[in-house]
Amino acid sequence: MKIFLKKRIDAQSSNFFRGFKILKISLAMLFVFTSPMYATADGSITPQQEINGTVVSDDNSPLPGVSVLVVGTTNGTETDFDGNYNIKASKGDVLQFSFVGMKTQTITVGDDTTINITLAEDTSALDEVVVIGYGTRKKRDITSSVSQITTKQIEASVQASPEFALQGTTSGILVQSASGDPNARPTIRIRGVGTLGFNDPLYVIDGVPISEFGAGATAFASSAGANDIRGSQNILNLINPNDIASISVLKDAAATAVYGMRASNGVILIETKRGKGGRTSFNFSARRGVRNIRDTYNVLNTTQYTNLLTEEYNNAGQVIPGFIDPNDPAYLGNGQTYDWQDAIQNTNALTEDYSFSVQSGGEKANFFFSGGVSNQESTIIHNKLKRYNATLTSDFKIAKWLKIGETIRITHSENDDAKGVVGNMNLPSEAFKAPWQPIYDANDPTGFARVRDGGGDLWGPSSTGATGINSLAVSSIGQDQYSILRNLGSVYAEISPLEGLIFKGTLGVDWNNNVRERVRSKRYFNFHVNSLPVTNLLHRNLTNFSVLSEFLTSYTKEINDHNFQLLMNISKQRVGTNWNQSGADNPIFEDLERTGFNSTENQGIESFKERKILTGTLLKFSYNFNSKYYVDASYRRDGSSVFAPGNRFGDFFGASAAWRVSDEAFMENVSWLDDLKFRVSWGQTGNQETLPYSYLASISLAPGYSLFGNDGAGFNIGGAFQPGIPTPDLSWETSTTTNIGFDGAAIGNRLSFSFDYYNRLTTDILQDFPLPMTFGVNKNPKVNLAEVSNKGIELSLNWNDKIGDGFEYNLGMNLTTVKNSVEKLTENLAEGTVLGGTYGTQVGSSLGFIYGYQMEGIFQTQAEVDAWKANHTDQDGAHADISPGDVRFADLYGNPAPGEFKSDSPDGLINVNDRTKLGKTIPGYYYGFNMGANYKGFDLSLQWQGVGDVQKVNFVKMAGEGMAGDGNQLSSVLDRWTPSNPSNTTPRALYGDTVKNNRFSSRYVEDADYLRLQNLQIGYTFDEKFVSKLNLSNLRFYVSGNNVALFTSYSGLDPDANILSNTDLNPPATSWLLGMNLTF
Amino acid sequence: MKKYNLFKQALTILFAVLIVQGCTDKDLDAPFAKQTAVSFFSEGGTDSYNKAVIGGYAKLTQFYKNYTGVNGTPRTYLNAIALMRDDMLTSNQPDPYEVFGSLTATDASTSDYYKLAYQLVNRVNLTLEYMAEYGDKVFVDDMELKNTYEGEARFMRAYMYFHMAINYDTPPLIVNTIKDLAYVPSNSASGEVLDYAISELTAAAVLLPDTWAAPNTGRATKGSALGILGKALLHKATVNGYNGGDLGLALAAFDQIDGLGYSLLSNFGDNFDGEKENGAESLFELQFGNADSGNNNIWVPIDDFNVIGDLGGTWGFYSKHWSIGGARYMLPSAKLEASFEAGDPRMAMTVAGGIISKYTAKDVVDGAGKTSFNNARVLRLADVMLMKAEAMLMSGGDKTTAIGLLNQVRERARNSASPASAVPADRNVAETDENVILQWIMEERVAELSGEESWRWYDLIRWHKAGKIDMNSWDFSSIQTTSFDVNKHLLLPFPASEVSVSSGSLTQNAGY
Repeated sequence: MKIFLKKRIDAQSSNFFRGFKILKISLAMLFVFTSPMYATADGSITPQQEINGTVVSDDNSPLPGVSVLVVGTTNGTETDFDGNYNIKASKGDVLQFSFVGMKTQTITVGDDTTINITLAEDTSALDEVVVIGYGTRKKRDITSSVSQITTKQIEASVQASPEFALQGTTSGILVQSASGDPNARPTIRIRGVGTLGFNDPLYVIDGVPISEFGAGATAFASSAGANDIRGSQNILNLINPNDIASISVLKDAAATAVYGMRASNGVILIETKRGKGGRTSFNFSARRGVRNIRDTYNVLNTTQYTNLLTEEYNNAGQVIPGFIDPNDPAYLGNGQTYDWQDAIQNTNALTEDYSFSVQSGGEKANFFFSGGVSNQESTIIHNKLKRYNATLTSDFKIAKWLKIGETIRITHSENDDAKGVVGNMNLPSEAFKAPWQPIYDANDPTGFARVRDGGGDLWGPSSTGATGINSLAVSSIGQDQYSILRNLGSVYAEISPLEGLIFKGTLGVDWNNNVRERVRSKRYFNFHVNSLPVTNLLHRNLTNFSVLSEFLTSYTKEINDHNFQLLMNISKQRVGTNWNQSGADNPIFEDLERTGFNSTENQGIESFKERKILTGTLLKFSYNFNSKYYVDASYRRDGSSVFAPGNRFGDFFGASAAWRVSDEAFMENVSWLDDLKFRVSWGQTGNQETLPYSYLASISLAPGYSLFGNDGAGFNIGGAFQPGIPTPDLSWETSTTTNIGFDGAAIGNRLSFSFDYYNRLTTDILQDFPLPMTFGVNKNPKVNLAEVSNKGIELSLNWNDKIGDGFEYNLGMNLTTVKNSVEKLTENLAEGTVLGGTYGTQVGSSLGFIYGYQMEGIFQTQAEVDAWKANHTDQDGAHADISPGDVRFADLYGNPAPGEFKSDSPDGLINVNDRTKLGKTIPGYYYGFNMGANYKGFDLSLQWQGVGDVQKVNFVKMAGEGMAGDGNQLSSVLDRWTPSNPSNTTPRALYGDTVKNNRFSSRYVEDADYLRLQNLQIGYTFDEKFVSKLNLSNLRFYVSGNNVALFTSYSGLDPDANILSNTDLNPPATSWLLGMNLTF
Repeated sequence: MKKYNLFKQALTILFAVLIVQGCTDKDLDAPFAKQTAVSFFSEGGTDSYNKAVIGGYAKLTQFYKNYTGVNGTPRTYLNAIALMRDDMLTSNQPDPYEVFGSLTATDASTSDYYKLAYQLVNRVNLTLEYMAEYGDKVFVDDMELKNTYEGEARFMRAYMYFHMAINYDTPPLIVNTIKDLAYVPSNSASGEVLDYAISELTAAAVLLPDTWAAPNTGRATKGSALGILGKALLHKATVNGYNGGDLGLALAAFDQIDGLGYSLLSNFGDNFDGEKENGAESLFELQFGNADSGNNNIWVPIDDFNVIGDLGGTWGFYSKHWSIGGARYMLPSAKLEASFEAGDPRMAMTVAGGIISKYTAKDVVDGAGKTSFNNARVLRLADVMLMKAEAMLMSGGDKTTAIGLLNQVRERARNSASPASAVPADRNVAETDENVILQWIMEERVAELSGEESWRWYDLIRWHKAGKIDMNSWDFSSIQTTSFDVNKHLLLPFPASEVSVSSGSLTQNAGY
């Protein structure tokens, strides 16, 4: 909540503001220079007096350009740069003050000749301006499905990356955090999962669609660089969250069809702040806090571990190795327990963010300038992100008919990711190290303990798996850094030759350079089993650029209550990537600060390029009658260079209509209902992130052959072949979406609600097409074939009210359901075929369901085993070895008959044909609650978020309850089956697992539903009287917690850690921050 | 104001001109920075064709590699080619290729064998298609080189089809790359593919050089094509009851080889010595790496990564090298061990320490010991001489000359021991009974060629079809129980998925 200042601050009185004074003067000069002359209407016969005053906004900043009109006359003026006006009016005249985005105010002229006005922001939710594709529209006039969050929600979420503000606050969008890595890219899905391929939405930042290298399947997919580089970067890290004015999520096809071939996965529009009405204001915000892992895995201590291993070996009838045999000199079990998880944790990881912005806006020009520094450490050591941002945006009205402006955004980030040198450094990888393996050793020059095998010797080729990589040593000695410089900017010029007619040309450039440097040191040879005693330097350099040129024509006409808009946009975007990688062994120095390619040892170099061109022509027509009946229609013709000539252009249509029922005469008596509008929409969109240039089959230079010189010296000669087959017909995927919904407000606008039903069918999804072997290709082509549908509802409700004097509160909730179903797959595979191992894809089922054996229980007695064996044969594991304590797997199906893919009758054989669906990985529903309140300067907000109807494979449990190897295990195995502990959930320990108790089964599948208190914030805004003494206009302090509480039945650390990508590494961090906001 | 209007109009027009984008296919022609077949074959010069041919050789070597399936089973060469015979068997677990009865159309080894064969065919087809289109321009300065590459490509394709013809009888005959994704495989006519192989080998023999200068030693030569051609003709002749016309053509091919300078090595064992590759006896040899093969990686198929991959062979399956991870390996059969004449030096060079030791006795392994760099001797002169003797004998030629060829092979065998052995003694050149002499040739082929290539299996098939042996009651000398069905197992099954996708146009071989 804002506290208003009644008194203007005299900026000139403070030395601190001297710089801004100069700025202000120079800007003022610019305005004066370009100000139009306006005539004063005169000629009235009644005596007039000079009325003057100041118009300010509700945060007390002067409003220039406010229209001041004597009602019923043509006598009018505008406020100047300082919000002052001067008009001649008679006593009794009515003055009307109006300004875009503010409530119009009228006042009758009395005796006083000074009339100061405070214009309140037009806060009706329906009058909120929503950013849609190629324009904005008032919320009341929206006919498609669009959600928007603004500065307020983004500030409330207090996250380093702004997409998390969408999580739980916006219906239809699911945001999944990756891990505690500050640079990791979260997974964002809008209304389910539409394709087997690329599912990320299109990001449009200030009107520039972002094109990323490696977004879809790439022509360079086999290059190590593609994954490495895109995977390490979160696209939204290039924007300082404090700079964002709004984030819009376009969900139905009527909203997204204007982005044609790139819009199938939904569109996220990000608009950043521009200078606005008022004098120069300065904002500074700072926050600092700590991030932590909520919990670590409970694993066995050395004694428990030794006991388990002894039992494993005994049960397997194997000789107990010396390192667990107390009578052997190599025995290690009497050592202490080392906590590897704790060692790699960065407890109280620092997160800090400082940014400032200066903005000013007038009738003729405005600007917004900001800068920021952000520093975030991961919850795992040797992983952090430092980001520097600078942004300048401005608009200049050169003449009444000409406007120009620009956006310049530069971001530099430095990411340390030395954990990447290890390969895997996360909680599970450390949890399962032998607990007796020491971490530090004061006698080693590095201070770290060398890796030793079960016999206590230094690691050699014959090592057993008793100990693992000393990841702490490796990550401390090695270096892996990314340095990213991104420049996203645009310039525009807008001409308005006629009332309502606009021509706007935009040129946008996105230039992104990512340099990765890595040193693998020979000094960690002793700590890393696979490395050679050689230092290796790797340098990767990616430049990704995009140049967008756009020409927009818009004509708006109002005839009585008929409102028309016709919009045409023509765009061309050129996208390019240059990537190269070089490496050498044994550089002179081992630290990245000093070393370069000063070694010629084993030099290697590799590079590639990619170019794409995207063109689009958009026509959009909008009509409404008196804000009661609406029709919108759009047509976009898109072209993409990645497809074969003749197959490059696609047509995408969208249409929507809306009806404001509440304005109808028959609704007049329904007084509790303030607004009700029905919407219906239909449209088609495309997804061109398929397989670029697949019409050109590339040549591989991989195969080699060894010819043999007569002199006896052989040599290798490179060969070539075409691994695939050109597929000239390959094209984009198409989504067809129908959306029906309504929005409204009731009970004095205190309740607002919105409901949508959506049905999205994605067709022509790229799928591997298994060619007959006779084709002789190594790589199957992809063809446009599969179909997936997503259906569901979205519901959101919000309540805003005030109680008594100054207690304001709001409550909100939203819910999205998703019913995902695969409708069609390759004909070469029968419908019953399951693709993949742990995950399946099958017609009639949710995409990527979990697939494996069903565990029935555990054999308790030999009699049970014998009875079962009388009717069953296990063909997967060693049937003869099955003993009490082993898992009993269900015999669900039989071997299919020749030509069939499935048999429903059990056949007594346990084999791969008995695998069945064990769960689904796409949440059936997700929801959010939020509440906020403020009273006397204190404010409180809570955001809850959850998902339901989803399962997850607990891979950590799979690794941690196997009891078949030398690694440490989860403490839960203390409850393992033994003759004296007849567990029915955890089988016996068995080294080597000959009976395959650990085959993938329902044992590892768990419900992954959760509810999370995503954000909790308590703030205090100082009293205006107090802050004005400090020459400030606003000052607020707050405490904010993220990921504060988690409620789930999932037994792992956090079910949200990559549900969709199905890995379970580090859980999302919890964080607590202290912050302040200051404005003057 | 007027001035402004003009300015305004000018700006508007300028905008329109500058920014309005083209919208045709041509505007979307973005450069593609990867080699496509077109750019590779039209812009890469003659070296592109050289590389494409090398890609073919690389594919041929894959039949000998460690594409281990479930339980580390070696899939292609050692199962589908090496086991269907009576001189080798496996150490453990019944293998379908050894016991026959459990051989099904879904067996992964046959699928892989079939798949690799057509991958080679596809490589050759692609190369030849682009050579037809751009070859005259690319090879303008050296048309002879074009012929050479064309000869190598056609030789490899024909060699593959020769195998496919025997193993499948009616495999799909693909001589151009398939471009239509809707294509489904269909059978060729019986004998059509063998005839195609014969005509292509005939053509390749004309195109190929007599020898290759270093450092290209090891590539296919005229002798390679003539040798395989003779083998294919002899096969065709035999299965048709020793058809005289084909025998004559085979003899003509063998005669041409005489002029090419091949000779028997003085020591039989040198044929399998890793230090003595590409010797005077070798007509065609697959090259398995060398000391330079630093990037040899047994686990990576050669097609997958640049320069890195499996360049070696897997003779480890004979010696039970640790790298095969305890999987089954190949043993000599009891029948083989009993078949040698007592004192034949070839026995000790074929079977030693209870294993087939031909390639492992003097092996050259890579640095890590995982894989062998000892070349596969696909066709050598001793085989050609024995085939020539058989063709001569069965076409009614001079029996003395035929027995003389046989005796040359036996003489070399005798002299391979030190001191020279008396066994095997020369056959009686005065013998005139065709059946006796054929029996001698049959025995000699076992003693000389056992444990190599698939020739033993092909010999059995053709002699059976010619009525010279009866495989109904054949002793496969397995330690497993075999169930051989002569109406079924003379041919391999087509992969089930191929039959199923063809919706009836590819008929499965009888019995599968």
